[in-house]
Amino acid sequence: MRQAQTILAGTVAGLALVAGAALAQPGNGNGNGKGNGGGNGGGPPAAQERGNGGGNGGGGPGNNGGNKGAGPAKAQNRGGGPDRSAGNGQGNGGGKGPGGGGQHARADKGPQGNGRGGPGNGNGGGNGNAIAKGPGNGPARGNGNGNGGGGGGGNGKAPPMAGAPGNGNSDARLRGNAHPSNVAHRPERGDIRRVNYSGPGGRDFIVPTNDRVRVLTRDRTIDWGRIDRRRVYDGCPPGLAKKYNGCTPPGLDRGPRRSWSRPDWYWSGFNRGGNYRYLDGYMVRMGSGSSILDYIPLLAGALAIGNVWPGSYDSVAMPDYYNSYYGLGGGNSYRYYDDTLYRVNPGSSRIDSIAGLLMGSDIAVGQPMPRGYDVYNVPYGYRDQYYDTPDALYRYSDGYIYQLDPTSRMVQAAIELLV
Amino acid sequence: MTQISHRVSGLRAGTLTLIGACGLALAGCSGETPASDETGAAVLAEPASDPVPELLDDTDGMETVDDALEDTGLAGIFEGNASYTLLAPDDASFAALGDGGKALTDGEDEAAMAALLKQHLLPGYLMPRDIESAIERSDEDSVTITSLAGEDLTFRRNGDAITVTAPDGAEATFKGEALAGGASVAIPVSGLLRKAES
Repeated sequence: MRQAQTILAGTVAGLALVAGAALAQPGNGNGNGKGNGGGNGGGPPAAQERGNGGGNGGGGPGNNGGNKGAGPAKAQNRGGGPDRSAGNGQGNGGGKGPGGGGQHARADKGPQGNGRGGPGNGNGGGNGNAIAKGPGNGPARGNGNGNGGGGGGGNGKAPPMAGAPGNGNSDARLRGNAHPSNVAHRPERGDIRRVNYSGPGGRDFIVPTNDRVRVLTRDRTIDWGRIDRRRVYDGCPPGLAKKYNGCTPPGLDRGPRRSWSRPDWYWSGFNRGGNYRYLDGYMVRMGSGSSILDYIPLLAGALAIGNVWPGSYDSVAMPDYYNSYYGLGGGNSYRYYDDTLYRVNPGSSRIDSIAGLLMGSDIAVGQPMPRGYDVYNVPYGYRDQYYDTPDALYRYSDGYIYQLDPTSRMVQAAIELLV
Repeated sequence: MTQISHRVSGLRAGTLTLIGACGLALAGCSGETPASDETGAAVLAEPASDPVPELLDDTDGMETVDDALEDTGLAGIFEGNASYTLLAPDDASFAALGDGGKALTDGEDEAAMAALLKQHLLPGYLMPRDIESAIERSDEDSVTITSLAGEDLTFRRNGDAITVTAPDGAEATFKGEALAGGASVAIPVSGLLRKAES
C-alpha cells in the first residue's frame, strides 16, 4: 500500500482535534474567556462586533472525553461602530473551547475514556484580533487574549502521548476574534519581504513577497470577457454526417432520456435559446426534425484524450504565465476550449492529456472578488506565505493567489506563483 | 518533515475514536510534524507525494470516482502545479443511481461523467477545517464555493458533519478522511452534487 498522509475530514469533532488541539491529551481543559475588543465609537446601537473574547481554561478533570470548556465564545459587543479604533471593550466569554491557541477550533471533546492513559493536562493560550462588522462607522479591530488551563486526570484513550500538554481553543463563534490567522497554515518561511504597495484611492497595503512570486497590482490577469470561451460551431460535427446519413440522427427529436442529455448537466445556466441535446460527445442544437444546426464539442467526449483536435476548432492563446504554471509546453502544444486546457501533440494535434480546468472567474485588481470564494483555499505550498490575517485575505483561482481587503473584499493584488 | 506512513482505511464518519487517534497521530505522532506554530495556530500536515487519483485508488470505497477520473482524463489535472479540491463521491453514491446510472459509471457517457466530476471540483487547496472555520465565522452559518462547473455550492454544518448543497438541491455529506496528495486534496463525500434522472 502506498504511503499516504491522511487528514481528517468528516466530523466536526475530528476536525477540532486536528485544528487546534492536535496535541491535546485526553480531555481536560475548560475554557474561560477573556477578550478585548474594539468597542468605542459612535456606531448605531445595533452595531455588532464580531469577535472578542477568548478563552481561559479552568482546569477540570477530563474524564471520558474532555470538556467542552466554559463560557460562551460568542461574545457580542453592541453599540460600537468605531472607525478602526482599537478596541478597548472587555468581552468575556467562555467558549466551548478549552484553552486557547487562538484558532477557531471547537472544543476538544476528547477521546473516549476507558480508564487507560495517564493524566492529561490542557493548557492553551491564544491571541486574537477582531474585526467588527456592523453598520457602524467602519471596521473596528480589537484584540483578545485567551488562555486556557486545564488540569485533571485524563482517562482518555490516547496514552501514547500522555503527559503532553493539551491545547484547546476558544470557539469559532468568536466570529473574527479568533486568531491573527483563522486558517491552517504552515510556519512562515524566512525569506519573505513585506513590500508596500499603493492601491486604488491611494490606500497602501502590504504584500508578502519573495523570489518565488510576482505581484501584479493592476487590471486583470486575463480578460475573460474578450475570449470566446465556448464557441459554437455551425453545421454537423465531424464524422457524424457519415455516421447518421446526412446528419440526421434517429430519435434526436424525442425528449432527452437522461439528465445528462440536457445542456444544463454540462453548463450552469446554459441559455442559448436553442434545442440542445447530447449526442456522441457533442452538445448539438437541433433544427427541424432531427437535423443538426450547430454543436459544441465536449470535454471527454469529442475532446477526449487520444482524439485529434480538429483544425477547424479555434484555440485561444493563454497568458505566458499559464504556459509555465500549467506546463503547457508552448503555443503549439496546447489548446484551450470551454475552460479546459488540453495538451496536444504539436505534430499530430492529438490530445495527450488534460492540463487543467479553469474557473474563468472575472477577477480584477481594484474590483471586488467575485462570489464563490468564501473559503481560504491557498495551495499547500504557499500556506507558509499567504494566510488570512486581519489585514488581508487570500484566495486562489486559476494559478493566481489574490490578496483581498478583508473588509471590502476588494482585490488588492494578483500573485503569480513562479515555483 | 517526515511523512506519516500509516493510514486508516475505510474510516467512516462517526468513528470518533479512530478519528481522534488519527488526528492526534497526524499532529504529533511523528514527532517531527509541528502541531502548531508559535502563535498556537494549527499547522498543516504535509501532503503525500502521490497525486490524488493514486490516493483514491488506495482507498476503500473510492473505486468508481478514481476510475472516472482516469477514464475522462481528468486525473491529469492533479499532476501539475495547480491545486484542486475534489469532493469525491464514494462508490455507494454512484451505485444509488441504479441501473440507469451505469451509462455514467461504465464509461458509455464519459462527457457526462466529466461534467459531473467538474461539479465536484473546487479551485484551490481546501481542507475540511478551512471550510468548517469559514462556516463558523459566517453570519449565515454557511459558505459558498463555486465549483469548476460554475455552480455555487453551499456548505453548512449539519450536526457533526458538513453538508454540501448544489443549486438543484442535490446534497452530499463529508465522510471519512481527506486525502492530500501533490498539490490537491480529495474530501470523500456521500452523495452526488447533481440530481440525476436516468
